[in-house]
Amino acid sequence: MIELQGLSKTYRSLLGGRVVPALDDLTLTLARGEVVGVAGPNGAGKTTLISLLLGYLFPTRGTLLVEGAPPRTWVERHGVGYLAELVAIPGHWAVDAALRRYAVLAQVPAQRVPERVEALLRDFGLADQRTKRVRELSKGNLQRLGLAQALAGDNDLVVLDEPTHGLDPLWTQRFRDTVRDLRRPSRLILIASHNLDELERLADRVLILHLGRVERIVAAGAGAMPSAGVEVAYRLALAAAHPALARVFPGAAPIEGRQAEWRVRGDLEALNRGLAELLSAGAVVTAFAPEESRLESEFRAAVGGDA
Amino acid sequence: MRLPTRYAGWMVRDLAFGPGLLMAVLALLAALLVSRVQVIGPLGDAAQAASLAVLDWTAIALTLLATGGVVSADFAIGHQRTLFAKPVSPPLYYLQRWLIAGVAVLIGSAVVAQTIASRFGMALLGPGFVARLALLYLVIGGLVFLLSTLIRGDWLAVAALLAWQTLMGMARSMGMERGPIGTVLELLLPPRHLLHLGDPLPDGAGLVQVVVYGAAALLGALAVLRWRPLARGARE
Repeated sequence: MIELQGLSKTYRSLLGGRVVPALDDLTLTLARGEVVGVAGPNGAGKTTLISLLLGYLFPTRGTLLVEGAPPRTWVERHGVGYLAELVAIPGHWAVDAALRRYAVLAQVPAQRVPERVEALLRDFGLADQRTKRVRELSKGNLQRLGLAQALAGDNDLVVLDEPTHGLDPLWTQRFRDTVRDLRRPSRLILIASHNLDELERLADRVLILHLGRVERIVAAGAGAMPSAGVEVAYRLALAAAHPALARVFPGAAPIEGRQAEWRVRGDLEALNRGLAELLSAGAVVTAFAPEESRLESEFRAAVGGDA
Repeated sequence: MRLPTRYAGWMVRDLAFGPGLLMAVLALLAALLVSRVQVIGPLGDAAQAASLAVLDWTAIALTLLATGGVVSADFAIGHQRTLFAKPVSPPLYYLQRWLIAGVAVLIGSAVVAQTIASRFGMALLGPGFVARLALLYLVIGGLVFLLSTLIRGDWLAVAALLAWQTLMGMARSMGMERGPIGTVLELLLPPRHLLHLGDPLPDGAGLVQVVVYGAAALLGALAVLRWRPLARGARE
């Protein structure tokens, strides 16, 4: 659906004196039916990538096409379900009126606008806020209004920039359910987030951006393996200290304040071999659990000390 | 690609509850003023000329109020990012907003013109009045529209330009020389001398000058909206 070919973006100061590279030579394809996460430290280029995708900015080099068309042309024809990182809706608008406006602009048929707005108010817990002015909303409610307007239309491309920013744990959970409901073969969903746990739960694959480049593309989901050479950290608990431990896991570090628990690091194969060796030496393992998610390990490996 | 006509009702509402109230007050005050001038006696002709000058300035003030921030108000808060993710063309969206503002200027100006017409027994309203007002709106409103795509203080900039132009006109009428720079600047300023609502429509070169100036401003605004990036940086 979306093709990026050697895409680069550089910001220049007005007089051209200061040059800030934001994206550098991105080449990738995003397909319908996917949920794609975009992760990266601040300034990695996540929001610039989204701005290019929506045709709000023009590439300095390379091309970006949505179904063969320039992004602006495609967006003006089909629309995108888009949540901006900073939700900016005129403060004097009432919540329900704002949703009616966005539903009209999203080409929801006139007779279906009232029911669509009611559904959005209900689904995003805004029914009791409907007559409030946007400027009177709390941060969490404003974020939910932002999400509701993004989903006012029935778009094949949904782009959410920091969607759970400001949401409480309950609404974060509901957001995950919403994304699961949004999945369909004809739709591409792109989620940019600092929340790696969220991306790991929702995305099929995650692009890790660093300094404007795609450092790696990680397949997400429970069955996926970490990339070759990526070290993962696990918590190992034994019934009692065992003499084979120091030999099998020379780098094992005791976890402070815990009896017979160690932090072990290594690639997944080495950890499996070590665990088997430890068990065959007679150690009684009571727990062996990841200390960080696989995506966190990949992220740390990709961006190093900049994260 | 077409105008977002289904959204027109919301734009009318924004105008009515935004600058519309101030526009109504201004038009009514101007109508009240011209309804109280002396119409007979030695000051009758001067009163009529003054009333027509009030009509001109009211139409200009209504134009500035109606078109101020037509584009820049959205860009100032970053609302364009949300707005133009919908299937909407920015030039057509703002063109529709600008046209609706023009209708509001026509209504407000017609109230004042009708008051003058009935006070002085003139045939002021009619297709000719609409055509003259349309030209004035094209030139002044078009200039605000163009500046609104580029800067925030759009209507203030045009108001300052018109004030400076008026001062220069007064200085010239007192015998001051224009000079080469003044002559060049004169070409860049709106041709106000051809836009009096009480005068006949300009013809020939005058009409061409007005239409070209207004069309250039309007098309310039639409071209900027078509080709400018809708964001300045990643987040703006």
